[in-house]
Amino acid sequence: MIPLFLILVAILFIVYVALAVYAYRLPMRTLADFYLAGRGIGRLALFFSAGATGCSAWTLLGAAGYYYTHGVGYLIHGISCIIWLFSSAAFGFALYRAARKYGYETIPDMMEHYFQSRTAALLAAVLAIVAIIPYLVNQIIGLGWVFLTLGGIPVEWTIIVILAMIAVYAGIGGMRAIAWTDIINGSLFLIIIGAAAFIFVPLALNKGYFTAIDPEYLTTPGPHGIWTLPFAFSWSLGLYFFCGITPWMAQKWFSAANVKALKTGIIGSAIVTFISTTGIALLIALPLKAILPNIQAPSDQVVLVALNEIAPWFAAIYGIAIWGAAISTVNTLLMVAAQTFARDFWYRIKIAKGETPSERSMAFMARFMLIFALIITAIFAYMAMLSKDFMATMIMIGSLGWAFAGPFAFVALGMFWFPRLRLSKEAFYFLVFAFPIVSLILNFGLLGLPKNPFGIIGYFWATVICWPLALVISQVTKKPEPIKV
Amino acid sequence: MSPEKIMAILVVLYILLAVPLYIPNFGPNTPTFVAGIPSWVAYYLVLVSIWAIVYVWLILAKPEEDVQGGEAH
Repeated sequence: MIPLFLILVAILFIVYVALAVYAYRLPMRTLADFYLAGRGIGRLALFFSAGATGCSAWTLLGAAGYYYTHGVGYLIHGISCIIWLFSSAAFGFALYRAARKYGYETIPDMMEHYFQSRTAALLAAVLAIVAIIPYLVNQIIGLGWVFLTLGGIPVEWTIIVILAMIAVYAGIGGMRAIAWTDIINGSLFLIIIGAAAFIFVPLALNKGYFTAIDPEYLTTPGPHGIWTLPFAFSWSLGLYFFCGITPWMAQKWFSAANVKALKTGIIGSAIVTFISTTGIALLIALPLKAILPNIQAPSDQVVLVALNEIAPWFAAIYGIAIWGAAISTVNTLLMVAAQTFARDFWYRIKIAKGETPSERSMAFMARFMLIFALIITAIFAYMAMLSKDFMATMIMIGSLGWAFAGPFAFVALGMFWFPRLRLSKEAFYFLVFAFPIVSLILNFGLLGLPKNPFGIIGYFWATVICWPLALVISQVTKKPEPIKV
Repeated sequence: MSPEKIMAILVVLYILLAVPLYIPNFGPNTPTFVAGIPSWVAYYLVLVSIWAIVYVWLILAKPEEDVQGGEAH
């Protein structure tokens, strides 16, 4: 008998393809038509698309397990949604206006224009790819684990099946198809979290809910001492200020049809993240702690293990919420990776050679680069499956994907709002290399250095160390003029 | 004062309000209950209600003028 989870995924795939075929009927002559939906995404689609992109497989598996294992301290994630909102509003409006004025399609486009340097664009593109591919690989492998648990399909096959599915609907319909499928994915995700509450909360209330939970889980720093004041705030401040200028969120802002759609997308990204973080803690993870306090499983597998014990019939439906959260992130990241290959490498090289690509070649390359990004992701995912060390490296770099937008954020601060903080292109080159390397070293305690020194997370240290150095470099080199938006 | 400045001030205030949640054995970060809800969670819910007010304010705020153009640089 075919597992319910696989039947539900197959039904969703048919719906995705139908939407993609409809999107294909609309004109797609340029790279922006394919990757930015012709800058025409409306309010509803952007609300869910931006919201669902902010939630990933981690939200429903990792985060839920994290609350279960480390207690309420992780709700700093929910508190930080206001920083997310602020970052998205500030960067979102600035990027949208600048993109409308100067025709930017990607962050590297903006860097090229601002620094008047093709090298800056290429380095920005490399940083975007370094942030995206490992993050993608983590999502695909996370989904592979869900398919194995709920569908009995080996992870190796899942990687091929998922990427082939995305190749079909994203290849046909481009960003429009993705935005429309995200309405379904985002709604499913929120509805299923709500439905899960109806199962878990009454059971938890029967046991006394909060009174049945060890108080260590209901206070900080939690049972394992993780959520200290410096860690919680460096974790959230260091990460959430950058979220509005990550290449994948920037793509959402660039694709907004108008200011109203942009505003809805910005609010959607913050509210969906907020509802999911708070909802998962109070409606799923903590009730589980009250119902089954001693689940012996790795934290990212706790929820599925518990579901199999409490309500096995619901596991497949919860799996669909994980699917929705993960696939909406995966397809956006793949589009951004493909866009980076197409716009920031291929198109830029063509223009540098003095050639103007035809509409036909752009429509072809937009899809070809999507397949290319899919193949690269599959190769990396398989390498991660074969080598534990490679997997560990992917997890490390992937977990910092959002933080790697730091150099873009530092440039944008001077570019849009604070002229005194303008960075020169040399300072930007320095940041592109130094910021991710320092983040990685101090986040994970590499090269014999301490992990998260003084309880402050590594990427916060990277900001404290690299940004002032970049400002010093900018003092002795030529700063570009600010951009008026 | 521009909406950006008001929001920046709100973010700072909000962060300051969130600090007590992470100071051990201080204020809401103690194993006590408020109406059956742990103090930590109750305080968290108050904080996120402020967040909700900002959210509603943003929804009601009039959007900025749209930008025309789109010429390639």
